[in-house]
Order: sequence, then C-alpha cells, then structure tokens
Amino acid sequence: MLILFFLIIICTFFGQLLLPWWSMCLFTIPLAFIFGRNFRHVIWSGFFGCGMVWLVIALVINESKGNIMTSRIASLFSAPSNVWLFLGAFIIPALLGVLSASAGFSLRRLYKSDLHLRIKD
Amino acid sequence: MRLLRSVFLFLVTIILITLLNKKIGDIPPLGKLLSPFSGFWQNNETNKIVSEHLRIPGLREKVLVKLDDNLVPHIFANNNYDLYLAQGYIHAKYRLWQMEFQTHAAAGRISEIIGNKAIGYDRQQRGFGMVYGAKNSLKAMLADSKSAEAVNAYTEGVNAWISELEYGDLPIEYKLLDYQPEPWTPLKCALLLKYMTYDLAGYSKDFFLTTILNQYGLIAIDSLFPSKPFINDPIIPSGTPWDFSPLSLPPPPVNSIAVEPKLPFHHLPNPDNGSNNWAVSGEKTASGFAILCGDPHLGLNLPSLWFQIQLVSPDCNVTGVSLPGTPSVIIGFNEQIAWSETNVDADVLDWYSVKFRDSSYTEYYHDNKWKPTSMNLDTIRIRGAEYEIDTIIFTEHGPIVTKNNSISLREYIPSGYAMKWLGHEPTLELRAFLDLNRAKNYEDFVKALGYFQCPAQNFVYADVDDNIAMWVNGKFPLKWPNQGKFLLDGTDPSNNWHGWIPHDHNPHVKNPPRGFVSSANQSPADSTYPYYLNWEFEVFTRGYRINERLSAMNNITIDSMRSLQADGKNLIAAKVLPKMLESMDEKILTENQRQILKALRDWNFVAGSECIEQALFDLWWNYIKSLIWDDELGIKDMRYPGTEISLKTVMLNINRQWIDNKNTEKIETLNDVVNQSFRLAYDSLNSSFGSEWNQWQWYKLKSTHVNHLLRIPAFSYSDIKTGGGKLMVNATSGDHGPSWRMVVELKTKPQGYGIYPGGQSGNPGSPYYDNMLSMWAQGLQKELVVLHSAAEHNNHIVSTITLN
Repeated sequence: MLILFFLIIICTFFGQLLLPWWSMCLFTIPLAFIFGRNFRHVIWSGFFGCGMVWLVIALVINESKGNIMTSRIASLFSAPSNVWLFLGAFIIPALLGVLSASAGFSLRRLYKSDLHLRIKD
Repeated sequence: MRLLRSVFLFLVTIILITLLNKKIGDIPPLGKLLSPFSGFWQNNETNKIVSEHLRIPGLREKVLVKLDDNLVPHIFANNNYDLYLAQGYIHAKYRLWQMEFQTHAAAGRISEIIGNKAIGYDRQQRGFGMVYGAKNSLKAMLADSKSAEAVNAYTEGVNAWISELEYGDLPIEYKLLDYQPEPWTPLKCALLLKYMTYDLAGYSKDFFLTTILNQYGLIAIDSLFPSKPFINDPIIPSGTPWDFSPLSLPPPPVNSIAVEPKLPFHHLPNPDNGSNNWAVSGEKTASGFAILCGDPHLGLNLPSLWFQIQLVSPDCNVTGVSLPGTPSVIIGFNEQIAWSETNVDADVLDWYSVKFRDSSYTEYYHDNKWKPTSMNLDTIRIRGAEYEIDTIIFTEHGPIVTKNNSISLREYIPSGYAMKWLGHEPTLELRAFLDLNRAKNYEDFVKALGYFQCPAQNFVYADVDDNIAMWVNGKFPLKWPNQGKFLLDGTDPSNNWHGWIPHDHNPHVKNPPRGFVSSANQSPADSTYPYYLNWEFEVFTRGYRINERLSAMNNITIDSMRSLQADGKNLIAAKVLPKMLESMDEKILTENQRQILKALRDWNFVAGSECIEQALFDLWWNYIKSLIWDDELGIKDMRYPGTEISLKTVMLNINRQWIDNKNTEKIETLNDVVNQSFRLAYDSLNSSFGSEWNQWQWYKLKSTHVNHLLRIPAFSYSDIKTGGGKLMVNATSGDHGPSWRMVVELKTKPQGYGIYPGGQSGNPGSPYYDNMLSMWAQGLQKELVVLHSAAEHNNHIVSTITLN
C-alpha cells in the first residue's frame, strides 16, 4: 500500500532537483498507473506524497536560511502569517499530486476491468 | 465513460500546471513562486557570509575578493582588466535585477517587463533620446583604451554571473514579474550613466517660464523669476580672482523666444535632487589633517543606488561607493586624495521650436533654408501585446519630443520642439572616474575632471598634503546671459549654442584663505564670473548654513563633521517665522492656538524628528506660498517663484498685487494670508494627528520613506523617524535625502566613514538588504574598512571569494 506513497516522495524530490516545479506529475502519473490499487489509494498517496515533499523542504529552508523573504512574501500577499505560505506550498503540489495520480490510475482503468482490480484489492 | 474521465483528469492537470506556471495580471506564477526548490524560499538568506572558490571564464589571473562584515567587497586583482571584470561579477552577484531594471528604464524598455502600463513612459524615454545619447557615449568610451578596457571587462564579469544562474538563484523580482535576465552589454553601462545624467541634468523650466512670460509679461518675470539670487553665498568664495582671460560672449539676438509654447515634455526629474560637500584644511582640524565630507541627495530607493566597494590593482587602491551597472568608484578616496560631488544644475537642456515644411516631417526650416530631418524607427516590444513602432525625428538641434508622444506623429500639428541636451553628446565621464580613482595629487585631479562633462558636478577635493579645492566642473555651452531661460526659436541659427566654455575657465578654487571649500548646489560664483551657467540655482539655505558653521568651527573632528551633515537648522524659518508671528492676530485664536504660537516663538529653528514647531511651521509656510501664488501661478504649465522670492515677499511685505487673491472681491493683505494659512495648517494637523499637539511630530508629517524600485510595500520602509528636511543641511525629505554620507580624514593613511539608507545586498530576503537603514536614520556612520594588501589581517574581514 505504502510503496506508491514512498515512490512518489522519492521521485518528486529527486525530479525537482533537475526538472521544473511541476515535474512531480511526470512521475506520479506512471507510478499511479503501475502501483495504484484504487482511486482512494492513489488520491491519498498523491496528495500526501507530493504535498509532503514541498512542505518538508520549505520547513528545512526556513530552518537553514531563515524567513526574511518568507515574511515579506506573506506580507506581499496580505497573508496574516507565514503559515499560509507553508499551507500554499503543501496544497499546490498536493492538488497536482491528486490530479496526476488519478489521471495515471484512470489510464490503467481503461485497460483493466474493475472486477480484476477489486479481486486484487 | 472511463475514457472521458481519463481525458478530463489529464486536461485538468495540464490546465492547472499552465495556470500556476505563468503570471496572470499582477498575480505572479504561483506554482513556480511557491516551490521550495526554486521559488521565493530560495531567496531567504542568513547573515552568514561564506568563502567560495569560483572559476570565472575570461579572468587573466587570480582575483581575491575579501568580504567584510558589512558585505563590502575588497577586490584585489593583478591587472585592471581583472579588477573591473571582478567588479562586474560582484555587482551582478548582489544587484543584478536593479542593474538591469534601471538600464531598461533608461532605454524605455519597461513595457517588455510589465506590459502596456509602461508604454507612455517608454515612449517618453525614447523620445528623450536616451539610447541615442548612450550610444554616442559608448562610441567615445570604446575609442578610449582605458574606458574600453574597463567597460568590456565589466561586461564580461556581469555575464559570467548571469551564465551561472539557475531559476532558483534569480533575484526575487524576476520571479515575481516572471522574466529572465538578458546578457549585459557595454551599452548598458553607458545607459546607466545616462540614467544618472538625466536625473541630474534633465530638468528644464523653460516651458513654465515661457508660459508665465506670455501671460504676465517681462516685468513679472523680472520680479518673480530674477536671474540673480536675493541672498547669495556662492560656491567659489566672493572675491576669488579668476585665473583666465574670458572669451567674449555671443551677442543675444533681438528676439530669441519661441512663440506659441507647447508643453514639450511631461515628466521631469525631481527638482529635490541636490547635495552637500565640503572640505576643511588641516589648520581647522584637531588632527591637522584635511577632512572631506560629501552627501549626495537623491531619490531614496531600495535596492540602494550605491554599492560600497574597495578596488585594488597595481595602480589603484580606491574605496567608496560605486553605481551598480558601471565600473569604478564614483565617490570615495584612495591612498592620497578624496573627492565627492554635488550637482551644478547648469542649463544644458534647451528647447527649440521647429517649423516643419509639411506633415511628412521630412524637412524643417533653419537658417533661411529647408533642411532634411532624419528619422529613427524604434520598435517598442510590449509584454502580452503587439509591438509598437515609434518614429523619432531628429533635427540638428536634437530629437523632437512630441507633446503627447502619439504613436504616429502624423496626427500631431506640424510643430514640435527639438530638445538640445548635452546628455546627447559623446561624453566620457567613465574615464574621469577611472582617473580620479588613481589620482595622486591636485594636478591628476584637475586632469581627470577634464574628461567629466555632463551632468556637471561641483567636485570637492582634499589630499594627504593638506590641499583642498573645489571645481564647478562640466562642459558648459557658451551662452548669452539667460539663453535658454525660455523656449527658443529654432529657425534662427543665432539661437544655437555657440561653442563651449574652456575647461580651465570652470569656476574653481584651491586652498582659499578661509580654510574650507563647500558646495550645496547654490549659485557657483559671484557676479564677477564672466560666463552664464543658469538663471536659477538652489536657494541659499544649505550653503549658507554650512559656511556659517565651518567659518565658526575650529579643532574640527570626524564627529563634528558628522553632526554638521545631520544638521537640521531651518534657515527659512529663522528668516521668515518672526515676520509671520508678528502678523498674527492673536485675539481671535483659541487658547490652544495661542500656546502653540508661544512654542513657535521660543523655537530654536532646529527640525528634530519629534519637533512639533517644525511640523506646524512647514505646513503654515506651504499654505502661505499657495495662498500668495496659487491664484495666478498654480495653473497648469506654470510654476511658483523660487523660495527666495516667497521669502522676500513675506519678509518685506512686497509683491502686494500677487498677495491679493484675484478670485475674491476683497483685497487680501499679507496679514490676511498669514492668519488664514495659520488656521489652515492648524486644522490640517488637528485632523491628521488629533487635537493633542504633542502628537504633531515632524517625522510623522514628513513621512520619510525608502521605497523598493517596484513600489512593493513589503520590500519598502515608510515613516522612518528622521529629522531635517528640504532646504536643510540634513536634506531628508519624503523620498529624497542623503543617499550616501561620507566623511574622510586625509591622514597618512586616509580613513573614511560612511553610510547609506539600505544595505549591500539587493535581495529583500537578506539581512544585508536594509541593515544600514536605522543607523542612517540616526545620522550615524560606519567606519569604512580599507585594506592595504590582500594578506592584511583585519577583524572585519569575514570571508574570501577566490576567482580564477
């Protein structure tokens, strides 16, 4: 069950070191296709897998490089606190994770019958 | 059904990525921006300054950059090419966005970044001939081997930094506005210098004066806009003999003034630009060494205009401030000399009416014949829209800056104004700075100034051999008195500029008997100076106060000079307030009002940050001026007389026909104006800050702010608590003020102190973005670290960047 979640985390993290910010989708789609069990499974794996990576990295940066810019950007967006930016940094990848994981899994559904999947479950 | 679901999910994913990947309206690309891998998070910085080893293509030998605890780089290179390459690299490392944005602004390319909103500004910059002037200067720079070496090396250095950048490393402004830096070019260095030239020598009053002349006649001009100051303590002390035999002036034509004035240009640089500088000789100082001070008053912005640096090569060891975007140190000191500049405000910008043959604008009338114009087609690229082609027409006077900058000049009536501006000439200011950086004595200094043409500056000088000097320096057109005070008739060649004032005829003085030299943008010389430079200069106050203090002071120290730079004595108030108080009718005042008048009577005229009297005086005086002048001169295309005339009007109770408000039946007197304006000022403070007048502190009214160049409040500072104000030595007004303060003692090894309102880093996420701001506001300065060799131990040096 957790293999998809961890694979998404690993691929999202390493992919972003070289590829654009949305590259998580490039990995989540095939991973959900291969390892997805059902929609619930791919949705939570995508949501937390992608979201956690950004959130944790944002927290690490906050620890190591300070938060002067973070506070300025919060004020730029009239956010009452920096927490909103951490929330944003979680929600954006999480949403994309859900969408791309569902998209990947839906492809698999095109080829394999519901019944087959249910049995496997 | 499943196929549909699949297609739908893919589509939504792609749409969401696309939406979050680009700027929509003013909303930055949120996906890119919020990504901790490359977005704004990466622009967070701590105060740790790390050592690095970097490979820089193009370097000839190893360069060491020692960084001190204020993030000031001290660059040690074995040759000048490497020195300026490293300066370019370091400037870009800390200030790339600002460098590029300012040169884009100079060139009229802001539409490329922010779209349609900036099109008017861009057209105006292009119409002004900024690129034309910069290209002319670049030609001169590239033809001069020393300037060419510096500018080419600098460009290579900037580009070395740009080529290393990945998205995550980009300054935050690129991420917010969603664009990328382009390669740097030598033209951009020239553009940056033109940007400063425009700021300091791009102001013109000719149009307003012509409108007033047409409306009220020559008598009004002579009484309200005279060409001689009322109170004058000139830069070159009165009585200084001129060591040259003057050229004869061109004869004024019978009628030189253009008829039918039309506004030639909308946007003008801020007239608040001004500065102080002075030097005192060793006989007046406690240490026996000369001391030099300078504080250029310019727009206060973040990232700061200035960048502190020390540049060391085999023939140079100079410390001071540089302008990101151009090589060399602009204000500073080396091992022998120190220098600083203030603006001269010579009239080097004139407008000529142009008579076109027809609406094709291909020919214009000049010197009794039709001459061909030349046309430049200029493409303005606009983000998110089609590009636009702008036509700029040139006559021998200069480019035509049209009234409404319309896209097609054909819709405009066949008469525009040509702009004659020294900034269009191929001038070579960079060479002057390169030589000043290396000057060893007064002769070297004067020789370097020979290269400095525009914007004309008052250069103060001091050296380790206890010489002090002042040069009112620039390239000045030879004019008849008042030539260019009004718009000029461009058909008559006798209205042209008639050659130049020779450089050694520029007003100057070395080691005057009074033991000090000073300048504060006031009139450069007394009436014995044989040439015309401008009809109006800065009002006497700052210069007068500085000279008064320097004359009285002895045993001068660094500290006493720093406090003079922060002097907030309001000489306007000292002159005019007694007369204002005398005109008050106290019978009709409330108890509260009577009390505040008493406070004003006891005031020592020092405008401290918390001073209530200054707040009331400032508003009161402004209301007086507008009640006197607004009915006649407050209309469009006109201006008020200078401060001196308002002062004279109130002090001597003259100009009664102007004091009367022509819109009322009653004949108003000075007493009416003073009493009415007092109530207006009192009520205004009452409604802004409440009825308790201990809440009417000056700093609240003045509201000094340092804005980010993009006016982003989250990157800016407002309501900074500082004293001083316009026309005072501490000339800190709302958004203008001492953009750099420096004091240098010319000891055997000169020692300097300095501060500017900001910090070395251009990154709003760095502690070094604003770390000097509060010290600056308090009038304090930091000791400037000077290293004599790369190996020298200094407690302030915290890291080394090795470039090879």
